[in-house]
Amino acid sequence: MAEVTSFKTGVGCGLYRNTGTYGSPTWTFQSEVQSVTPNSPWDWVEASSRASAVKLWGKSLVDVSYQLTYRADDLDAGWEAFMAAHWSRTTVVDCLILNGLIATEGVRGVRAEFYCSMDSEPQDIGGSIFSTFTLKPTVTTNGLPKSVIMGTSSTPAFSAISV
Amino acid sequence: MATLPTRTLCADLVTYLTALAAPGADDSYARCYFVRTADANDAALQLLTGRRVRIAPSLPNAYTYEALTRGGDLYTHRISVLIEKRYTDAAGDPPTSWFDTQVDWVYTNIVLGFDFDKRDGALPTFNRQLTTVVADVQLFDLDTVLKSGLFSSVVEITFNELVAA
Repeated sequence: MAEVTSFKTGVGCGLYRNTGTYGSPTWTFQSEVQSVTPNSPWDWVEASSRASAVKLWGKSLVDVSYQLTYRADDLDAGWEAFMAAHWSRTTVVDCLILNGLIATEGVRGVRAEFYCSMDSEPQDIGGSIFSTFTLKPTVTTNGLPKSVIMGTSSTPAFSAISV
Repeated sequence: MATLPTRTLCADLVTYLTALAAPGADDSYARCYFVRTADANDAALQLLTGRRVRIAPSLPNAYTYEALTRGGDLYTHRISVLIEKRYTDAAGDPPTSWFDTQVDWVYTNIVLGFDFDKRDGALPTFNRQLTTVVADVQLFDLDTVLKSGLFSSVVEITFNELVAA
């Protein structure tokens, strides 16, 4: 019988924005985030040959992106940072996006510098306003996107997503 | 033991109303959980000379609690405001002008007074995270006013409050 472990919840996940430097990051929990949808599908390339009747595949590029809904609040430094990045063609937001909290050993995610696009912000008269942002990683002089597994004492272990 | 935010809100609204519409010597504003509606034979009603306002959680579904963001929770409070005033000026039915005064007082001080939103920056100073969603007004109870001269109006107001988790 399989071992029963605890389940993960969305509200228990963490999106952290770096408010320090790239080399010495200060990961700030973005508390006004409502939900995050990570996407990372690989592009498949066919690699079939006469060696096998089985259709064979390879992986080429992984399309990492995140869609997040963020409660609009001009007093919230995080929302301001994402919105400022949206209205810039060059500004990036350095984020650590995890499927748990940063202090939890074993949670996984991605650290990257992201371009940001605000896709929508419905302003219904009776509603609380949430901005929907799409984040896509880019390349900077600091480095490339990395996958992350959190270790002890909130120490991340980074792995290159190599070709 | 934690304090129910809906209870805190009722108390805050009493304080807010007291500042907004200073009660006269015979007026009474208070927080409560229920009000025993007066009738013509009620001794307390016969003694009611001023305006009586009671603010209470709406029973039975007084509040809803849900996670809104990863760092904030949303409370939806449903509050009932009962406003009572006895007609004592003369025999017979109260005149239109008297009703005008009562319904306008409710509209000015309860419906508009408790209308907290960000359209004009009119958020309450006691709670900057409180917004008004809807106010449902029972203008007055006709049966009560005709039988006992008691103007009795109920305003049920729904508020949203964002609270840090």
